[in-house]
Parts: sequence; C-alpha cells; structure tokens
Amino acid sequence: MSLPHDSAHLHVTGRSEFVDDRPAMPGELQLDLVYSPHARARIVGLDVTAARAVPGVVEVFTAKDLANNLWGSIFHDQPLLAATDVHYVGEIIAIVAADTREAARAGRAQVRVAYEPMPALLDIDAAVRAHSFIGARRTIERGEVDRALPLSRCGAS
Amino acid sequence: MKHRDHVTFHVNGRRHDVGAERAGLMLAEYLRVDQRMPGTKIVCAEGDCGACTVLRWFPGHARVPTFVPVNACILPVATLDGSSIVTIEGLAAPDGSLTPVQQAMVACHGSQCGYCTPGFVLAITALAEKRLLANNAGDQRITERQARNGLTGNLCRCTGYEPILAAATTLDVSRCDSLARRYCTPAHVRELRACLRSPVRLEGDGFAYYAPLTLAAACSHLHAHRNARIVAGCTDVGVLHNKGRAPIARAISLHLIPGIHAIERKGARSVRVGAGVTLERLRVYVERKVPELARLLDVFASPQIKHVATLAGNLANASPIGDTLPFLLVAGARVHTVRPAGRRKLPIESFFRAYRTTALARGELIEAIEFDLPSRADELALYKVSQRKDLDIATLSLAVRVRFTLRTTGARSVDEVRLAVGGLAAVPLRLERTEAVLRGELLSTELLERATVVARSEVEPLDDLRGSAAFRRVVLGNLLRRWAREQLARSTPT
Repeated sequence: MSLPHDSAHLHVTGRSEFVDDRPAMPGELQLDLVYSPHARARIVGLDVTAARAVPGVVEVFTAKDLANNLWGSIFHDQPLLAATDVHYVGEIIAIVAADTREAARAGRAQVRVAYEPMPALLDIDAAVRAHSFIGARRTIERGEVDRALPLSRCGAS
Repeated sequence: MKHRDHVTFHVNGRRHDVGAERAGLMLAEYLRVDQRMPGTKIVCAEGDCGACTVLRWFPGHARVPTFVPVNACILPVATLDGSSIVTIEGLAAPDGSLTPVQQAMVACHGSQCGYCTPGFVLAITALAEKRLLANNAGDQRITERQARNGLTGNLCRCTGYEPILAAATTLDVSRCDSLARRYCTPAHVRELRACLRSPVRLEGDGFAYYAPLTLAAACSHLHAHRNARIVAGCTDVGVLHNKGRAPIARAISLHLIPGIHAIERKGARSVRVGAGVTLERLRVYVERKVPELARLLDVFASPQIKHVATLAGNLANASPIGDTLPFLLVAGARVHTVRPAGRRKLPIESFFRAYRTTALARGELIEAIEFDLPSRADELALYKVSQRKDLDIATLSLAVRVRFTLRTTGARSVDEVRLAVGGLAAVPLRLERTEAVLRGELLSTELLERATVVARSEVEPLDDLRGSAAFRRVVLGNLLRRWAREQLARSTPT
C-alpha cells in the first residue's frame, strides 16, 4: 500500500498552516490592488495623491516607484505594474498598502487613472492582422536553412 | 417587545452571541480572524469553490437536527441566528482521532496542497449525515451519483476528483457518528429554539440588521429604510458585498416569522411556498410531484447554495436568467405579497417590469409563491443551456408545459400550451405568439419549424458575454426542436 501524503492528517483536520492562516504580525500591512477595467488602453494619467491622503493608507506604489518593474521566469520582459499601457481587464496598475483591509480598499477607490481606450484584439486572427506579437522575434537556426527550407514538403507559418 | 441586541448561534457546540459591531462580517472571516479558527478557507469569496464549506442546522429548515453544507464566505454572521454550525475544527474526536470521512480522505490520497480539503471533508460529511438520518439498514455506502451531486459545490485544482470521489464512495457510513447527536443535544436545541422567540435589532456603524416576528413589522421597516434589503441565503447580495460593489448596509431577515418556512398544499392542484423555503427543501418536496422541476433544481446550483438560497430570492432578484423563473411562468405562479397597505396577489406575468426590476412597491415584500402542480395530463419540460452542466449561469433556459388531445387517428394535437424563456430578453417571459402557432394544431416536425421561425423573431435577444443575439436565436430554435423530437418519439407507436 502506498504511503499517505505526509501532511494529509493536517489537511483533513484543517490544521495545516497556510500563510494567510497565521495571525497578523505587529505592524503588518494589508495590500489592495488597482486593476484595469479596460481590455486595452493607454494610461494617460495616474494620480495617487488622494489615495495617499486616506487615513490608514501607508503608501501607494506605481510602476514609477519600482527600480525594476520587469520580471519573468526566463525572459524578464513582463511588467509587474502597468506603466504606459494595459493589455487586459484586471492588469495591475497600483498597489495600496494600509493598516487595515478597509483602509486599503478606501485608498484603492481614491486612485485616479485616466485611460484612453483602444480597440482590443480578442482573437489570434485579429492579432496576426495587426502584427501584434508577444515578445521580440527570435531565430534559432542550424545548417543551411536558406537552401533546405524551400525544398521541404510541408510548411507552417 | 424587547429586542435582542445580538444574534445567537452555536459553533461546534459552543454558544456565540454577536452584536452589531461584528454581525456584518461574513462567517468565514469571523471564524478565521475573530475566532482564530483558520481551518475554514476563503478562495473565491463568492460561493462557487466551496473551500469555506461549513455545516449548518437551522431549526426553521428542518425540525430534526440535520447538518447541511453551506458556504461561510457569503453568509453574514447575522443570518446565522438560531443556527448550529460545525467547522472542520469540530470533526475530530476530542482525543484527536480522525472521523471515518477524514480517514477515507487520507487513505484515498484525497489531498495534495490541502487548501480545498476541509471543504471537501465537510461536504462528504454532510452526505454521511444525510445517510445516517435516512437510517436505511444495509445501505451504508454513498453512491457515486450521490457523491458527484453532493460535491458539485467544491472545486479542487490539484489533487483531481477521482481520489476524492473514491474517498466518498468507499466510506462505510455505519462507522460514522452523527454530528447532530454530538452538537445538537436536547440542551443545545432548547437554547437555540428559545432565542428564536424574540426579535433582533442591531444598529451598528455601517451595518444594521432587523429580524422581526411579524410581516407587518418587516414591511414598515422596509418602507422606512430605502436601503434595506431582505436577506435569506445572501447568495447574490453576499457576492456583491464581498466584491465591494454593493455593501450590505441594512438587512432584514424574515427567519423568525411563523409560517415563513412552510410548504403547503393548496387544494388539489396548487402548492404555496413560503418566502423562507430553500431551494433544497423545494427540490425534496417536488422530487415525486414534479420530477422535471427536481431535475432542474439538481443543476440549479451546488448543495451549499441550495441549502440557503430561496425560491422567493430567485424571484425577487428578477434576473433574466433566474433558473426557476421560466418554470414559474408556465406553472401560472401567483406572488403573494405584503405591503403596509395590506396583502395582494400578483400574477407572475406582471411581476417582471424591466431588467432586474419587479412590480414590488416601496415597503412591499414577498410572503409566498403559489404555483400549479402539473396534472397528469400536463407534459412539462425544462431546459437549461449553460457552459457547464452544474453550478453555472444559464445562457438560455426554456420551459414548456403542454396538454395534448389524442385524436382518433392516434395523432396528438396541442390543446393548451405555455412556453417561457429565460436569458432571451431583459426579463423572463412567455412566448405568446409562438404558443398561438402551436395551439390547436397537430404536433409535427413541420409545425415545430413554423413555431421556431416565430419564436426566433418574437423577441430581440440579449447580446452579451454569455452569448450573442444570433447564438441565442439558434439555441432557442434548437431547444424547441429538441422538445418536439422528444414528444414525437413518444407519440410514434413502437
């Protein structure tokens, strides 16, 4: 018989501890996020002054506040916070840190973002037509590609 | 009469009295943060994933203590007044030994990351409790069908469902001890029933709650406070609250009002469903009487939702895709309401005024819904088209109730017909022009094609993210064809 999962007893009794199950540390802050309501838009204005003034709000971060805003597991090309454009509904634009969840939520409501909505590309055909491709074009080649490729029986593009 | 300034409920057999300040919290948060009981998890916070499942018995829903699964993430603490709750912390014996359900989940490898596990353990425990209550000697396994139906309200994203289903179906229920016996002793029951005899009034900062003993008091409160909402299961308002779209600022609960939880037969043909009747109780009631409705209620929502959501709530919400509404339209439902000026009875056809707008006036509330039980001569068919079978929002739904006359030739002609559709327009509605095409005619493929053409042009369909107008037109036609094919197959002699 196979061995049970070593945490199974804790799982089935609700005693295994996940990060959010731990009691709050003294001084622990609560975060809330400002999301894009647009599938595609240019960010033409971003004002966090009013949000910073909300009682309980400790700090509000936008792309400008981050020394390094790009991340990714292999290519570091994905913005953590949208800076100039948003590409999907729910893309994160700002982070609000506050003493309480309620204050963070109130702060989030005070972040002013001005958008210039742009037509969204909703399927792959539309993306190809608009030449909208993800990342830079990368080429991996070996041997005499120019001679061999025209002779191949099938092709995909 | 003296009002209580707190609600009372039990958690794992211990009494909790909660006043205005914390009664607006969702139960899951109350348990995790206030009570430091983090075994109850929160994931979706909208009653879909079941990670927050706890067990509940409310005396108004079942006289005999019976624990049923509910979603703690969308139930404000105030709505638990008079209830007994069991959480994951309350399952294992005081010496720490696991229940047979917990043992089965360990033995079948039913957990991986473990986050959804407490919810699954409680949902399976609820199936075992139900089986224990049925007390059928010799039949001590949960069937696969029961397990699948009972677990539609719990999502797992890593273990996979097979080991979990195996845990449920290999469980020997005769080894389980009844939680009701453990946590609903006569003393517990007396304490809960005693608190249900006095009304509750909570006035807090940002949250107010009123649970009167009479409908008149509920009406005048509703009339006086324009922002007040009648709540029962909070399966919709709780989601809006959690997502910050419409906080529950002032709630009125009818749970203490005598008779509100009753299902009554009215004469030979009608049934009257009180505003407090949950969809699960309705499902059990109609299982033999209206099997087609019971079948629809099977896919209406998860057990967790159906054990708190009410028929009256589905109606008052007046969503164009409310699952029971096409049925109520073909079943000739009458909405019994109360307002400060007195009672009235509204035919369902005049109840829906515009998108999520009803004929209810200020201060008016639903007391009960009466509808016709289909007779033996009635053929009833209910269809729901959604992206997945269980627990989904309908794209389109159709109800057909028809009575045939058998001609001497053996063919059947449509004597009386009602068609109602949900998700087509901004309100659920009858397709009266299509009905007129069918009425008095012999049932045939050709007739149905004519009816389909009329049905498709009768209403300009909605065009939204759940389906384009063109798609809805096609689906409506296909549902009518499917109905006709089922009927024609039945009338062809074999």
